[in-house]
Amino acid sequence: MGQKQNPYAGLPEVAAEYIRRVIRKMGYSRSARLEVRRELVDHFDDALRSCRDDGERAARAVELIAEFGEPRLLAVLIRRGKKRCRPAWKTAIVRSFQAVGVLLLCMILYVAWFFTGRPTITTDYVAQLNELAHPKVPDSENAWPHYQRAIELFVKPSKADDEFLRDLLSGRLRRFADLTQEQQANLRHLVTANEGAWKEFVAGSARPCCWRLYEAKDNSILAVSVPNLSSLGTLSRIGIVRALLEGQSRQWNEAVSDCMAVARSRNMSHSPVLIEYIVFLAMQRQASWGLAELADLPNVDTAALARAQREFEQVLADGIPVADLEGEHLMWLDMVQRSFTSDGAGGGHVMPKELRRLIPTMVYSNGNKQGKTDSLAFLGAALLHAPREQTLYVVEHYYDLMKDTFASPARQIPAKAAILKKYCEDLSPWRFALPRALLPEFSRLASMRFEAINECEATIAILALRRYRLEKGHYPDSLEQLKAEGYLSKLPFDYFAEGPLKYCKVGDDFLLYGVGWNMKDDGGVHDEKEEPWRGRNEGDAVYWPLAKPAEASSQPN
Amino acid sequence: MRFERELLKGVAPMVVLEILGRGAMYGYQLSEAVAQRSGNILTLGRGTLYPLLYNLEAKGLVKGDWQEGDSGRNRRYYSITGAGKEYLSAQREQWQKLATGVGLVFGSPSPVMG
Repeated sequence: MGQKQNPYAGLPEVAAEYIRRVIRKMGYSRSARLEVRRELVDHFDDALRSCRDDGERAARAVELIAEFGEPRLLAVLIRRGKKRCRPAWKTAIVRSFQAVGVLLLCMILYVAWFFTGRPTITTDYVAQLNELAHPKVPDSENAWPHYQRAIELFVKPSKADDEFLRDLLSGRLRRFADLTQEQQANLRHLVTANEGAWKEFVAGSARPCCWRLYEAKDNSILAVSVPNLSSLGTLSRIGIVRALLEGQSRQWNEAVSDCMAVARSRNMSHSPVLIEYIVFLAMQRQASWGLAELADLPNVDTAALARAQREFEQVLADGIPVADLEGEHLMWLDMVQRSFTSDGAGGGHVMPKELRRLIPTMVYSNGNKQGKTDSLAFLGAALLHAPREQTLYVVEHYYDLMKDTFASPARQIPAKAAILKKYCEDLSPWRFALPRALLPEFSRLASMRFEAINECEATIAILALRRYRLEKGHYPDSLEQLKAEGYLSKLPFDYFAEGPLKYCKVGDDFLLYGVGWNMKDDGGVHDEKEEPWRGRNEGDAVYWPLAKPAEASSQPN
Repeated sequence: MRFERELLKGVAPMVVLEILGRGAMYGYQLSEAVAQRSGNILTLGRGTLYPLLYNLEAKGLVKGDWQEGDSGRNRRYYSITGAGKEYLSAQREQWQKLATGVGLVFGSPSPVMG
């Protein structure tokens, strides 16, 4: 390797030091500095060439330095001149990098500020939920302790048995009256195993109200513990099976009472927690189906039918209430309260880790929940997300639209649902990622309520028609005739058609149906892919006959 | 002789371009030529020379190239460009008018450049 050449070789030290200072203070690109250094060294070299000795060289160097002036000023002037020499493209690149640098710095400062924010918990929404749920009546009127005990005592059927129960009590399988002895024995076993749970369920359904104390870790409404409510749903199905088995044994009073116990579980209908309302709705529909199955049993007793109709009408006197969305609304308010920073530090923005917790798979996620890409994506998403107040505005507006949908007649629900859907679709997936991903679409529940009301109307008509048949030996020519002869207090109403349910005699049987969700009379034909009482796709909701006489259906073990 | 900085500021580029118009020169040579050709009346401060050359280069009026000099050593030679010549011509015309005006004010014959 060659030795590094001294660029100041031959110059007096005072000159070399001067040039060094100028170059150091110039602080520009290396190539420009080297060029200037070379020029200055050459200049001194040329100027000192005529000097005879070192003393003269040093003295002349000092004179030259004085002529050049203060090194800092010279450095600044040279730097300025050199900068002007820079080509435009180079200047553009430098300016671009500078701009990026400034932006990056601003970004870092913004992110730092962003991360300093913490949420401020000011409202106890769990307490508000409890306030809403408690109907201000004595504890003795509360059904919940009994339901809770029923859940504890509940003996869960096997998965296969559970599916059999669901299919049997929804018309997917054969009618109950057509079950084999073996199938009935298996069902009887399920009923016996749940005797204790059923007693508690009956005791609970006799209470006028149902509420429970909602508790949650850290008082976060999202962490409110939810009991196993599906057990109550299954227990209600077992209760209906129990009633049908009793009916087959001609224990009509017990059979009607058990069906009514399921019907009276509507004491859950005023719960502000939507999942509880949904369980209530399912049990209400179960009661309707059970009563219709009871009316379908051979040798059914007319007195039992009359009693069932009378009591069911009493139970339904208050109608089926509209779902209370307030619990869901409070949940959103609490979620925003806990996921967004305060307005001060952090600027009321959503925190990335909360966004990641609430929306584990987002459009901008690579699907790897632990990946760094995800972390950056969620940080970016949080930075872009609308602040708290704007998010709350969107949520409030959405719930207003939802409440309006729920309060609407059945025929208007599809149009309202379309508005809700469009509202969500129009939200920016970046600015409103949280509401867009998590705002629930409940409009089907609004239609399901009318579906359940229709089923109640149909059940009352079925009970009356079957009683008429037993007493008169034939079915009436029309529902108006049934009403005129005192079997019905009013015509069964189809809320999707906004007119009476469709009825016609078919041989020695009859057909009773509603138009279903498509609001179109399909001639009493239901979509084979769904349960006959549901008319959610193309086709009608056919309430009678209950189900086609089944082909061979096997019951699981 | 030392002139007021502001007075020299407008003249210096013109002087440098005028001298470079007669042939390419490197920094030291140029500073010597200015002194010599002005009869030592104008001495371009060394601290002014290089920033001035870089500014003229940035404006495209002069061009700097490393070339081998008379002594066999490499020097950065500055030469006037076409744009520099045009600029000089315009400046010279302005200067003559200015000098005439100033001369008339002072009641003395106008100095003529070039």
